[in-house]
Amino acid sequence: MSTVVENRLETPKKVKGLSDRFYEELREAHDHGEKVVWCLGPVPFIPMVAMNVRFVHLENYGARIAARRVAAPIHRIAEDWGLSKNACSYLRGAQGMSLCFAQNIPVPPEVEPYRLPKPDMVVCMNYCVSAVNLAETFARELRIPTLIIDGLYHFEDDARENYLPYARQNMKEYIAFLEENVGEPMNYDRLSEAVALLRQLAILRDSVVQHAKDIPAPFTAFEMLLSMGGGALWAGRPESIEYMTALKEEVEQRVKNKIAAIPNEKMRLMWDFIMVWPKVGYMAKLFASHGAAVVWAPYSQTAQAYNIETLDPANPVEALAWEVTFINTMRHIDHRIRSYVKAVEEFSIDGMVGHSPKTCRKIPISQPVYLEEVSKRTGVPYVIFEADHSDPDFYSPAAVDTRLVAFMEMIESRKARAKGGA
Amino acid sequence: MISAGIDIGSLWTKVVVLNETGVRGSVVRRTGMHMLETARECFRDACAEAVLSADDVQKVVATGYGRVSVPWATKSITEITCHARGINHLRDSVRTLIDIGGQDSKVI
Repeated sequence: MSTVVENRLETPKKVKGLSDRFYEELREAHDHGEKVVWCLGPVPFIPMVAMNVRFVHLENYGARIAARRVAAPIHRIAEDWGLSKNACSYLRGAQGMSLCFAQNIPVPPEVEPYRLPKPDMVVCMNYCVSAVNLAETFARELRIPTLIIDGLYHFEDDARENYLPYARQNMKEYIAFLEENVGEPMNYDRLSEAVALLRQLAILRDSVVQHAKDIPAPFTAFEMLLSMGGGALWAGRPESIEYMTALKEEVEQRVKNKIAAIPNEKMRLMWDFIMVWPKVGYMAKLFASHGAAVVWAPYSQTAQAYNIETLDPANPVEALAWEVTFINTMRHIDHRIRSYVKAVEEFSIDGMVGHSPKTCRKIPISQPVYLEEVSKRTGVPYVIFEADHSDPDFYSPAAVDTRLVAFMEMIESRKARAKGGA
Repeated sequence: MISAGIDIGSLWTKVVVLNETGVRGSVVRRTGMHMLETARECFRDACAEAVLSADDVQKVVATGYGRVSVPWATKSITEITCHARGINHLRDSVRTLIDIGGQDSKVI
């Protein structure tokens, strides 16, 4: 790799500490008489925040142990039990942890600092069939109550209002499930406060993301992805506002002082789908070393909807219902194509990088189709490479690096030709 | 101008030294365990075949799996791009290239 020149933001460096604190509070939950929920999918956190319930988003846990490079030992427990190595690596991490409780298997020493508490209940939103299967597995092996929330897939462009009655019913059932299993009624004042904070977070986040359109970009999408650990993870709590306010101020200062994330920004890329978490730092350097600013990663935004106009603290249950009518990962391919075409123009994208995780085929199954279509409509090239979001065994440095660097070489060559060079 | 290309593959290292008229020297050798040493030896021997010293070579491009291991390279470029440029130079009607390498195969 050639010399890396990057100006990293300071604020995302707080994410490690925030993430550690989140998980420490989670581990101590039972000591404080708090219930623990294991969540799968884009389950709204706010009702749990309002009821002082500690929760873990198991996909976030999968990303955490992958980034800290301790995923493999816990995956092995699930694989020894019989889960295929081709099964989602996030879910293999979760099942490995569940089996430690269900079968009294010792937690591997490397994973011990990242051990989860045993759940009191599971809540799953059905964005993925495997996640639903796993939620049901947890229910059987841990003998705990489980709620599956229907995530409302949009098969066509349809008004959100059409989904609202069903979404409202789902949110009421979700709250009732929590009340029954926590043994307390919902605190609706706290729920309103949490919705107000979520709305504030959404406004702050959007104001930060707008600057990714600046040329040169003041920050990279890697930093926005990391910032999910300071923002989304603490949604509905003051910590999320503190973090996102600090991020906004730092970004605005950068814009004012004309500081670029990649000082020699030669090209601007979009990253499609999940990050390769075991290699996130390496990936950031790889692109930076070739003057490529990865400016936009839809996954960092669209997994959490945060529809500002409908986040009304005065009607918190209605606000939650609106949120789940429009989860961007559960919308049809035409919507994704249109939003990507728009993003290519808005963010001045020169190329699209599609990560196709070896162990997640269901969600990005249409990735070659939609990237091809976006490429046709915009003239912007794309590359798809195979690795994995949490399993380091599926990363082949020679294959991945060569493809990505060759892609950047191609874009550089195209831009030079467009300017009249060789 | 005298230039050189060094392709350090997982199995074989290939070096050419060339000028405007064509190839002046070339070496192909097993990469082995020590790719930097192999690259140095191949480069030295290719220069010797071209009756040149290393200092006569004005531009060195490294490619292949070991391309980042050539500290004296002016530039490192992926073999994908090198293949594409090379075949475009030799026969510009070609649109598909199949590289069957020691570690992996590619269709470009």
